[in-house]
Amino acid sequence: MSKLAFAVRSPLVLMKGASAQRTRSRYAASVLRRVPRAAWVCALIAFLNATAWSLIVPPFEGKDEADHFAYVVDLVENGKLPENGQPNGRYSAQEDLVLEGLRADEVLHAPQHQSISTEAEQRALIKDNDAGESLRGSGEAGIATAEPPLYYTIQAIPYLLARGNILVELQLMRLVGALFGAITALCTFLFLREILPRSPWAATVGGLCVALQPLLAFMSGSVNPDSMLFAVTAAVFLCVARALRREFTSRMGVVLGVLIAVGFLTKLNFVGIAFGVYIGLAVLAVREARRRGWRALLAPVFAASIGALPVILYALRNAVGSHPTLGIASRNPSLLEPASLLHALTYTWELYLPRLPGMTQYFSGLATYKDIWFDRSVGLYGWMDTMFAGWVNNVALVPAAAVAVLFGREVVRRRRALRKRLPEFGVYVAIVVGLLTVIGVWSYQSDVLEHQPTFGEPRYLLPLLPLLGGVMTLAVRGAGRRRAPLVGAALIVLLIGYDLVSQLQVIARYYG
Amino acid sequence: MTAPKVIKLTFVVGGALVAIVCAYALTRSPLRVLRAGAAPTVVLTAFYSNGEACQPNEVLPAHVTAIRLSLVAYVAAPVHVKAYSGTRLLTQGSRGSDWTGTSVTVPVKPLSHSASDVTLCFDVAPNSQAIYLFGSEVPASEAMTIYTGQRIPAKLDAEYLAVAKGTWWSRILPVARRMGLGRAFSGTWIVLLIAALVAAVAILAGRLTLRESS
Repeated sequence: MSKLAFAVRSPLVLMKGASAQRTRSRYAASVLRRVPRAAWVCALIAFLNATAWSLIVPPFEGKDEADHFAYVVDLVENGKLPENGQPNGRYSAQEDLVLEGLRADEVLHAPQHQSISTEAEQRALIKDNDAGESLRGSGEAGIATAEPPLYYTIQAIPYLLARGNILVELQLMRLVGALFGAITALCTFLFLREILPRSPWAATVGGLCVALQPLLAFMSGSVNPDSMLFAVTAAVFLCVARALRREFTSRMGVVLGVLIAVGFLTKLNFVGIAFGVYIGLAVLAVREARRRGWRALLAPVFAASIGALPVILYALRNAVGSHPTLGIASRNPSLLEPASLLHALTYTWELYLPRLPGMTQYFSGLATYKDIWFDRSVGLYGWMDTMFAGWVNNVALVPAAAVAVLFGREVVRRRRALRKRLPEFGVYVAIVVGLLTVIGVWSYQSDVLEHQPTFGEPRYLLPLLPLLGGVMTLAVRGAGRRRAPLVGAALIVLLIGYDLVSQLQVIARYYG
Repeated sequence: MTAPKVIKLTFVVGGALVAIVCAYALTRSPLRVLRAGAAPTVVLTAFYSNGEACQPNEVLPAHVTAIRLSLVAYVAAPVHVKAYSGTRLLTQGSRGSDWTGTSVTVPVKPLSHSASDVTLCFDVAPNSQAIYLFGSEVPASEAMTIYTGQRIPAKLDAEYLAVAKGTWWSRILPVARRMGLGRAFSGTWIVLLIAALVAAVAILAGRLTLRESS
């Protein structure tokens, strides 16, 4: 018997392994025990809310849901990732049949067409669902093709659990999304308690405001890697906050590195978030080196290198296979030329903010910050086809302005404390700027260079939900000690009502 | 008043307001199609800046409260609609940029009588986005005119809508039945499950807010 085989089978080694396993389990259990009960309740609320949305939205009417589902099918049935750039890609015959039974193509984007409405259509759908057609497509997953595989690998579990029944597979996958929604709410709650430890009640209100967000629930209740991106980003926010406020240990460095890697493997948009996180790591490296000397640099180095690992491996794989080194990101190298970059940055500015004198006009007649980002944040569900009437968006300005005023008041009042935390807030600002820039530059590429749609969907901003929770928390504090209970409770009722009215709007659109 | 009492009172008043808003919304009626257009089969053209077009030979039914045009946009622009009989303006309406998808519904002032041989005009302005016009091909006599001087032998899909007779309240049961369809396990019980989930969310959020305040 070889030494290696002996070592593997040795009872001593097995005992040591089991003991290490027990220690790890005990550590994990003690970490979980330290999570406040309120955080679990927040997570449960987000899960139940997303589950309700998963039952309200008809199958495959979540944004790009058919494409994301096709990715999982390719991964499981063909055993490989969908191929990039193949024109006229097709879903599997079975998926096509179910989509036809649901009249999905007719319904999406078109509010005048509703979901199936008769028993005969239901019988036909079940017949299609049980047809047993081929599950192999052409190896293409539409808009999802270029996305990294981690989310889809996780979704392969519910797919395999209900293999052969697309409608059940999809519902189980949606429940996995709801779990990601719960993780988002949990991490947001812990993040708020971390950054605002002296206002536990206000932080609870902030966490609840995030858990009750209808757009989060809609996205988490459908099959879309955004749901996992929100969860990973919320965990990154929590980890960065802890690192910046406490000692940045090597263990925390490894955890943050793994989270960054998971983010890169979840959705391409994470690139924007990573920009800010790496600035955070630089801030941490300088601080830790000053405090504890060069050895303290281990933690930021661990985080940075573990986080960058998937990108390095991906670039190597592409280099070996003669593909563009950074895949879809290298699609338009001319973007990096100074003149083009300036146009892209001007476009990005105008995508969110009013145009400044001398800038090329990209959005004639549109106040993008209101018409795209605010109005659509109030409500944009389904395949971008379910919105509130314009007057509702205008009414929503009132509570939004009230929150902004209270938030501003609190920031001004606590400016000294904020000044002390400037590097930390600088990191959060860098994360925001990184994400907005990535969305803006990709939108420029799509809209201006390729004459494709503008990236004007507020779901792209949902990774910043923990910061929205922070704004809500500070707004409650800004109301003052006497009025805080009134403002906090009013916010919760408002969010519950907003969620309910959004659900009714979606029900009217699909079943009315 | 103590914090828990303030919170309870806010929940009661806020909950009542939410219930009133929902009940009021359910007293409204959905729109129904009075006159359907030709099913959109082709992209007729696209506006990348301000655009204006008119199409003849339309029939405007009485009591039309909105006109739905097959315009496709991801980021939209304001749309203005005018219906003429000869040179006489019959009705008009506007919609801001708060729409997206494959159609835009523009509210118009209803007429008490129907009118035939109507020219339907619309403009999209100010605009810098790609807005596609969907419709179907027709004989040259019914061709749509785009105000760049272009005449295209096609007709934009336009539907004429009016308020339906029943309110949303009267449709609750049919809507509930429809919500139970389209899944592997069908049945109206799905609606009850959704209602239970929504109620659980509200109760848990309320209780947590109260518990943490004391």
